[in-house]
Amino acid sequence: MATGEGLNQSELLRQHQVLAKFGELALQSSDLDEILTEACRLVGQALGTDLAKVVQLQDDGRTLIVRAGVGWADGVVGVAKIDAEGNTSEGYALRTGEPMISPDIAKETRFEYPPFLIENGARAVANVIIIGGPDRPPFGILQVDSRVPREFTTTDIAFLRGYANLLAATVDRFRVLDEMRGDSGLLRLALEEEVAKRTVALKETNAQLDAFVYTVSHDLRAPLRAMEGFARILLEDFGQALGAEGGRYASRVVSAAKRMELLIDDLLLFSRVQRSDVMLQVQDSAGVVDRAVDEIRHSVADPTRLIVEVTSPLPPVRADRTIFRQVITNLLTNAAKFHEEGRPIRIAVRAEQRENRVRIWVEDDGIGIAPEHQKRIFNVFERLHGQETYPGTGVGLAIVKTGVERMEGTCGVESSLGHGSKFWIELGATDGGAASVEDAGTT
Amino acid sequence: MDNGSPLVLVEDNPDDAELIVRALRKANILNPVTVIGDGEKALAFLNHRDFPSDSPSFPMPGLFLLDLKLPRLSGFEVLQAIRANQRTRRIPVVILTSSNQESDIRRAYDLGANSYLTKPMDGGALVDMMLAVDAYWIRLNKAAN
Repeated sequence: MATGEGLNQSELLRQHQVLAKFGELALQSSDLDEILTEACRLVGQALGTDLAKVVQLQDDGRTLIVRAGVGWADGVVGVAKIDAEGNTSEGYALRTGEPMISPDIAKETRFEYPPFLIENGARAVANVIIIGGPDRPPFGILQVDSRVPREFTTTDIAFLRGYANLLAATVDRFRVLDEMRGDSGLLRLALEEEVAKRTVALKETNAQLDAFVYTVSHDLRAPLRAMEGFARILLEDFGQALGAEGGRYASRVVSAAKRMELLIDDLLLFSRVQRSDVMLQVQDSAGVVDRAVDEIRHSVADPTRLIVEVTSPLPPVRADRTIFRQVITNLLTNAAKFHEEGRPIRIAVRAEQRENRVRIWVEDDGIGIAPEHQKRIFNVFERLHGQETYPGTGVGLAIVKTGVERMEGTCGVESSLGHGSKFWIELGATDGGAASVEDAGTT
Repeated sequence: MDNGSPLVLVEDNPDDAELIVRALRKANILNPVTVIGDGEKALAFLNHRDFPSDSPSFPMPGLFLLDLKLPRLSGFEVLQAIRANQRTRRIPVVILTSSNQESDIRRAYDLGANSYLTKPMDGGALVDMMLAVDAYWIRLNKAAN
């Protein structure tokens, strides 16, 4: 009795050690087959046998395939099948959910055994169910086989049940992981599909817009040219017949056609700024400002009235070359435009370094903008003045706003009526920091 | 270029055609002008068995003024045909279009255009442009025989 107790104690210890070892492995390994094979080896160790296997129930609900095992000849693991609906001990275990023990297969009359079991020398077997996840069929059966007939004690069975449950938990963890991978994979595929679809749609829309812009630039101008051209012919060749009033009307046709052309040009420019590819590169602010100042000088009615002061340094900025030039030109054009007739036009351009941004100011001493209008003026076609006082299309500042936004920048204005306006744009600084490419003093 | 060599104007818009012909006259260009209204007719003109000859109906043109957007066959195709034709391949072609699209400009030069002009809005500017065409392409430029 004392010896029996002792044996029992050491067996229990061995079983506990196996449970602990298996627990560690199950948590560490990311290979289910490795875990299942090791589980078979360990369970054999715990129960003093070198023959064990895990059979997995297939999706058809009736076929069991040996998924992992130790002690078997080739052609068993991954191959051998057992019919769970036939008169087998496995089928019985699955149907009842209870452990099923065959202490001596040779003397067993209740069940039929698959030939590979006999061929591999198995004489006894204990079946314990490995349950599936919640609301799922069993994963399969843990089978401890023996090459000699043997009894399995209630302690053995209790151990096997605990061990099988641990296996079940491990298997379920892998199943959940697989599902998640599958789900996120499906989700990613669906997303990719959606993105691809939208890219195609976007490309189509862009192509249509391109065609539209082309049509506008091409077809809308033709009738305008005709209006302007023929009205001008009337003025030039039929002036006498038209008389003063007729001549005035013909001139109105000419100027209206020209204004329409300006609108088309600005709309095209705006659409280009909105949709063109933006390439942010280091831009020489000083050079761009100098160039724009030259342009303005040529466009104002009386260049002697224009005094432009550029304060160095104007640090380089990260911007798209074409858009940046357009933005600077538009700001300077506005600065030179909104002045009272006959007074000098003073424009100051300076820059501030703000951490990793550069703010460029374009300031004038012109008529200024009332606070209530300061937000609106950046909208497309927004105008505060009649054509007679300050002609324009109302697109210039919309181009500035859209342009700087496309270059990851911001813009704004500080102004009050009668005290000039200070427009600013803020763009990314370059790594080179404050180095100005060119000194441009008072011009 | 010979004063008597005709200018061939390929232009589908009759308004534009009339304004351009008038601007040519205002610029004192006295060469005969053949106006062709679409791309197919331009191709038929180029491929006519009598073209070019000394017969008064098909003299060798001295200059093509070519619009790009034409019904049926585009100006690009006409330009290609001019350059592919052994008898016309060296005749200067000046594109005269309302398109200022970079892609059109590039393609025109790629296909062998000699000059690219955009139709000005202003009738006065059109006359100035034709004066320049006269000064450069008709009087200054040496054409291949």
